[in-house]
Amino acid sequence: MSLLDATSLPVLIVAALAASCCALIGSFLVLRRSALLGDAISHGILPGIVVGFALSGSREIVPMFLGALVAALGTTLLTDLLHRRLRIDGDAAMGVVFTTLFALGVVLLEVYAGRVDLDPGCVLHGQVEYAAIDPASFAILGWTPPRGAVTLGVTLLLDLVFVLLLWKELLITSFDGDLAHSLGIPPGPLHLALMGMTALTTVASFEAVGSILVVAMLIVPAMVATLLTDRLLGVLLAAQGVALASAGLGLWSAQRLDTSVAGMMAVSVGGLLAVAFLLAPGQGWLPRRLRRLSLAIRIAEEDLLGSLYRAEERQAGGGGIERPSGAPPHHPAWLRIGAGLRLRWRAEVVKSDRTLTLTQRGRGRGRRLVRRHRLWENYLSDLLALPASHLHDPAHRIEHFLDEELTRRIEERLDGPERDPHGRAIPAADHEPGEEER
Amino acid sequence: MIPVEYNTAVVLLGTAALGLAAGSTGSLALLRGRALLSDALAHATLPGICLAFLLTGSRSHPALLLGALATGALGVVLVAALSRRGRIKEDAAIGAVLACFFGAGIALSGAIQRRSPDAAQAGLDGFLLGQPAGMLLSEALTIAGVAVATLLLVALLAKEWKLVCFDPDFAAIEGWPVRLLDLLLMLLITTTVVLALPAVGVVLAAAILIIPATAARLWVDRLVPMLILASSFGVLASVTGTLLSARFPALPTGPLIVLAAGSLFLISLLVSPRRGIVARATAERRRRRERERRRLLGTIFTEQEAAPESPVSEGALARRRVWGPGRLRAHLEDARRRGWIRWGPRGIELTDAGRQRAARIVRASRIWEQYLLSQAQIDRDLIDLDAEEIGHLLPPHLVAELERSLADRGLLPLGSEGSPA
Repeated sequence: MSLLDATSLPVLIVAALAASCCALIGSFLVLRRSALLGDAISHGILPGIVVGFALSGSREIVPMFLGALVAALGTTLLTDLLHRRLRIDGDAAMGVVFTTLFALGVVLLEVYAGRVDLDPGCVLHGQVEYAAIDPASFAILGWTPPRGAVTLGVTLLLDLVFVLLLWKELLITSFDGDLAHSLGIPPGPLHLALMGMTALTTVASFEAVGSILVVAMLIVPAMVATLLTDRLLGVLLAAQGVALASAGLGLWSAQRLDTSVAGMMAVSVGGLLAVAFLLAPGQGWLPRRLRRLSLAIRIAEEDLLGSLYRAEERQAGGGGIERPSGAPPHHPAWLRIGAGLRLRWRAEVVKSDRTLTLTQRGRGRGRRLVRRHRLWENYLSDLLALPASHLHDPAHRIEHFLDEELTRRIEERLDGPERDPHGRAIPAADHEPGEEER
Repeated sequence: MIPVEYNTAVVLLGTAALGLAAGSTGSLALLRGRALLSDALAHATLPGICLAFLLTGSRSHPALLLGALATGALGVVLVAALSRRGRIKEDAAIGAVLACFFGAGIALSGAIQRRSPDAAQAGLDGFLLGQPAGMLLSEALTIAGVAVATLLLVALLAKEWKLVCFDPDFAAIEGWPVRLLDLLLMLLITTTVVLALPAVGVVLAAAILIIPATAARLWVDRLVPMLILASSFGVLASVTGTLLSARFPALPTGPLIVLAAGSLFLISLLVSPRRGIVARATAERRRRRERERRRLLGTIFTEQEAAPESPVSEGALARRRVWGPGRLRAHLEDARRRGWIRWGPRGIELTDAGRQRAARIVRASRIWEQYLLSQAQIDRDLIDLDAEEIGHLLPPHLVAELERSLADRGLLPLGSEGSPA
């Protein structure tokens, strides 16, 4: 079975369109930190949909949308009333409103069961599979699109118009509500407009993916996108990519496993979120871990070089020593061993007969580290007048983060001291003869 | 008394016990800000139920509910992990876990349905919206047992949780094990939600925790009364919902229980004496009328002050354009009933009681004006200009000084000497 054959293609088109318009509107919900309002609206519109459906007796979107719009505004305004006016905790206010409305919707579904061709299952998890046997009443260039695709296509178009018309306002209110307020952009009407578009999008999509899974398609693509990029356009485009990918993946895996397409779409988009959360270049868990690990290794290396340099200083003639002393072994053993191996691999130290010796290159690095350490001690002692007992620890931390330029300017500021507050010589900036620069 | 069949009685026992546990657990969840987390938890149980069915092939509740417990807990852990640091906010994490886990559950149940359409589905579909009708006595008793255990635990640790709910930082500083208590609370929430699944269903399980507790919060401010009230609301909602669904078998029980709870909430919202809409509107109206009364007395007093010899006519008050004619007449009638004014032969006269009251009002407002003019460093909006009991707000020497400066300009109302200063 391929995704592009006669039975799958309409399903793919409907799924992709639903995912696409949900992701577009949902991006703004996530950026404005109203992700759960999407959840509340998608539950809360159910009674509106059922009543609209029962009154019109058809699956035409207009009456359902009008009912849903009323219910969505009701959900938003009621939540707001409970939260703002009656000081009920925001979470709880939302929870009370949307669960009660949803329960009302389910009961109404049963009450109208005779007249309404909607079953609770469809409401909960959608029926995108039926796209192929539910064609529109017209054809474009000899091809009859699925009925759902027409509705969703129009919805996507409306969403796009909404976003393009209000681009600037949406951008500012999404990222900086205070700035928007000071510029005179009214938060209320824009918020309500966004809620209206969320309601429209949810109604159009819920037939395909159901009222709960629509939450996944609304907010998860945007969550993935915010892990990948910082700019509004980037977030919108990345969310579209994620939405389309999850539609394709969902359909493909549902066919493989012979199960619900909407369910697998939600699983796919959740999987993409998991991957992004673990691996996203900037924000992902693994890259963050790796950055911290490489920093930890660099610090352990420099501490080892520094203590070897100090040991050489104490022996005042160079040569090997039994074991590095000086800096306390505050790094875990595996880190110290790893740092030692890396230094040997990079030929900054050599090991012979259980003894570590600095090479010229390693000595240079160690010397620059010790120089930064002692200059900083001088700086704290001279300019901040800290007592001698309070100099070592801050210097030991900052020595790894001062660059050459900053070190040089500290030295200038201190008029080129020769000794640190403890009376030890501060190594020179330029390298000693015979010592190669890295 | 409604005649109740044996089956309904069993279901009633189960759902009532559930409401009892959900009310008290829900109160703690609400106060600790875990309301919507419990919703995510409830939705996240669906794949566990399906997996447990796939693994064991049994439709017995213990096996399925263990599965529910497992993925529900996993969902909560994932919400915490996703929102712990970095860019994802907790509400987005809750929404994502809720919807994706629910999607996984739908996919699994779809797969089960297509492989064995008959027997399996009957058991699993009931978990979506709840199907307590088939509850066995043993299951109802289990729920009752767990509910009692929950209540005992809540009662034993009520003091600790009170501290953690209302001031977690203080609790931590005082050395209470906040994390342990939070973990225990999460465990209680998880147990309650899982117990609620057969009766109320995955989609609405969290509602029977959230709604009774929120309704109770409208009536009381203290933890223990709130626990008791929320549990009573929970029981009432469960019993009402169950009886309704016994009467109308076509309607699903879970949504009916939630609707009953929602109605309780709505009633509380309207009539609660502290925070109810009616009470607030009444208080607001009473305040406004009291303000109007003071304004009327003050106006009459100043009119009289301007022309001491001639009584105040209704026309003169109407010319002030503060009130419309009908409203003015009503206010005057009210003041007469209260014995503050009387209709003299040539117009309105203040009675002795009315004169005293009016003098106090005018005195207070003039002292305030004087105060704000001469010493104003206080935001005028913060202060009710009608405050009669001026002596309670300003230090006495300041009041005396302000009075002197008023008296110098002949503005100190006569007859106000008896008032506190």
